[in-house]
Amino acid sequence: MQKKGKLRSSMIFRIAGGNLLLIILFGWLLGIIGYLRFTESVTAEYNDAAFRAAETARAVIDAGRIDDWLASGGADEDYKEAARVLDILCVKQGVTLIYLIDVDTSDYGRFVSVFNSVGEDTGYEPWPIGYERDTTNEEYRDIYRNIYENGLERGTVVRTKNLNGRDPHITSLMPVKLSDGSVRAILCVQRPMEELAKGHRLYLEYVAVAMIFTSVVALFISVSFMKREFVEPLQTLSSEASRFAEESTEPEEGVLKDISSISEIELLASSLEKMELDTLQNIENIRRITAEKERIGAELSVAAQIQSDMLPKTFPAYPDRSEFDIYALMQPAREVGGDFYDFFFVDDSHLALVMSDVSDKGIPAALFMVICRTLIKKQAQSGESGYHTSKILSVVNEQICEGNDADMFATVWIGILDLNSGKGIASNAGHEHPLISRNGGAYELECYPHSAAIGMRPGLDFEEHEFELKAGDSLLVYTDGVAEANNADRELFGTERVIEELNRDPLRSAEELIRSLRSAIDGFTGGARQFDDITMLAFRYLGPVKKD
Amino acid sequence: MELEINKVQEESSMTMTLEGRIDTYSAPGLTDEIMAIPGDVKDLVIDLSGVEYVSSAGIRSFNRADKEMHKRGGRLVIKGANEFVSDLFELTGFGSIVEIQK
Repeated sequence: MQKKGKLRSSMIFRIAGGNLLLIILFGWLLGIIGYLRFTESVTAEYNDAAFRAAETARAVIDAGRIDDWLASGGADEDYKEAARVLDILCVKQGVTLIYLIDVDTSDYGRFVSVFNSVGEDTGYEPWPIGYERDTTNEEYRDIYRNIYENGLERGTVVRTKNLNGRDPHITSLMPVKLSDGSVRAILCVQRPMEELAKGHRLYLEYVAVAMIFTSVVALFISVSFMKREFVEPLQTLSSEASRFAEESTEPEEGVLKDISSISEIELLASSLEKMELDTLQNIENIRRITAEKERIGAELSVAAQIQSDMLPKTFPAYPDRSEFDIYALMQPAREVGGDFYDFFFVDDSHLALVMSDVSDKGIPAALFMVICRTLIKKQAQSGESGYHTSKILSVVNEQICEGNDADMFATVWIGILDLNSGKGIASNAGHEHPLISRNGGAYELECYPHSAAIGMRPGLDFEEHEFELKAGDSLLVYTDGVAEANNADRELFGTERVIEELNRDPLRSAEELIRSLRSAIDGFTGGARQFDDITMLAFRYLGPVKKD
Repeated sequence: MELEINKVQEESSMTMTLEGRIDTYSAPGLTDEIMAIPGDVKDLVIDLSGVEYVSSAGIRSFNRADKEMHKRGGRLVIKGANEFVSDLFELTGFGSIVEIQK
């Protein structure tokens, strides 16, 4: 996320700015170190020269004569000779001043001038012999004391500041001793340091020029290096990444190859390329999977349609038959289901009712359901087994067990009713007990012996029993999806609730019964996911056709 | 996984203790376990004491186990089924094919 108010600039400016700053900092540091070293060595050089002049001057002075000279006020011939030599020395050595002073050793606060030679064009007025003066500068005072008391052989004072308009200068001081080694006076030589100032200026100019030059060169080299090795490769990466985000197509051949000699950037480039190719692969996979899913979905919906069309679902089913009222419903938990109901005429007077639940759900159950439904109907209508439902189931069981490697099975309730007499035969192969209402009374479970579900084992025997319906009697058969429909708390709807709902008004038409039971189930589950197929069939016997 | 399966083999007999729910989702795993039972096992006991629910898919798995044991000359015994499961065995007629012990 971009921070508010934060300045965004291109990488190359950042790099150039950073480099420049570093070079300036480095140059400045070097300049300071060089300046200090330069000053130090030039000062040492000046000091040495001043001392050499002082040594020479000291040779012409006879310390033992100083008292006489001061007493005579410099009238002696040898004083004049020495003063003349010092004057020459002063000019030849290019020094500003050569002077000899007799310092008052009580507090070193005063001194008396003995010799005072002044160089050419210096603007100094020479002190006469015997001229007395106060020592105001503490630095000089300390050196005087050290020379007189502590045997200091060389003292130096460098004045580059607070000069009252004079040039910077260096003063070298050394003792002038008597023959017994005691200090009698101090010889001072002052040299101008204007060359040092000039040297400083030159030095700074050189450093500045060199720094600017190296900055420009270094900047140019580093920026072009950075540009080639970092900025351009990153720009390539960045534009390739945004191109991919826009177009989602394969990168152009070689765009991400050898873009930098820096291994990290190379790695980034190859990772980007791999990521793009992987993403494309994933997109392609998802597209293929989606297409596949759509195809399966489309096929499933056709399959669901075929399955639904297979069951009789036009009601009233037999508008020209007045002996009964029938209604049925099948609602799979998934696209296709394993439950089925069926009803068909075995012959003109006998109606077969079938309710079945295939183990498991989905496509395998649906395929198995188609086989069961077809075999049962075919066997019942073939007439081979008569109206004996047990025989029909036996034959179908054998056919199903043949090659039933998936071990599928189906529970079946089947009844065949003689519409003229109301008498019938029914078999129950592992299915729910039917509910029967006699003459409009309450629905009750009708339990009779069970057989195993068909498809479990070859050679099974099936039970059958006879029953009779009177006009006004009703029958409801259903699969376990009805009683086992559950709500969000996993509570089951239960057979009691089924019976309760039917008995609210047992006289309703077959269609009304089924619909109200369905909505009762929906009300109970309250939108919880339907877990099992829900199938039910209601039948009311209205009595034989009255013959006039 | 909603179903836990523990197997203990003693010579040619194996006891398989199940815990959880046996429905459309867990039954295929159970069938795989049953088909992977070593060839020297002839008798299989399935203990359902820890099973609360069995769907028709579960009965399919048991049926398959029974067929397999018959093929090997042995048999399947199911024990410890709760009331719901016992009712289901009775209802589907599975109880008339396989030995169910209390």
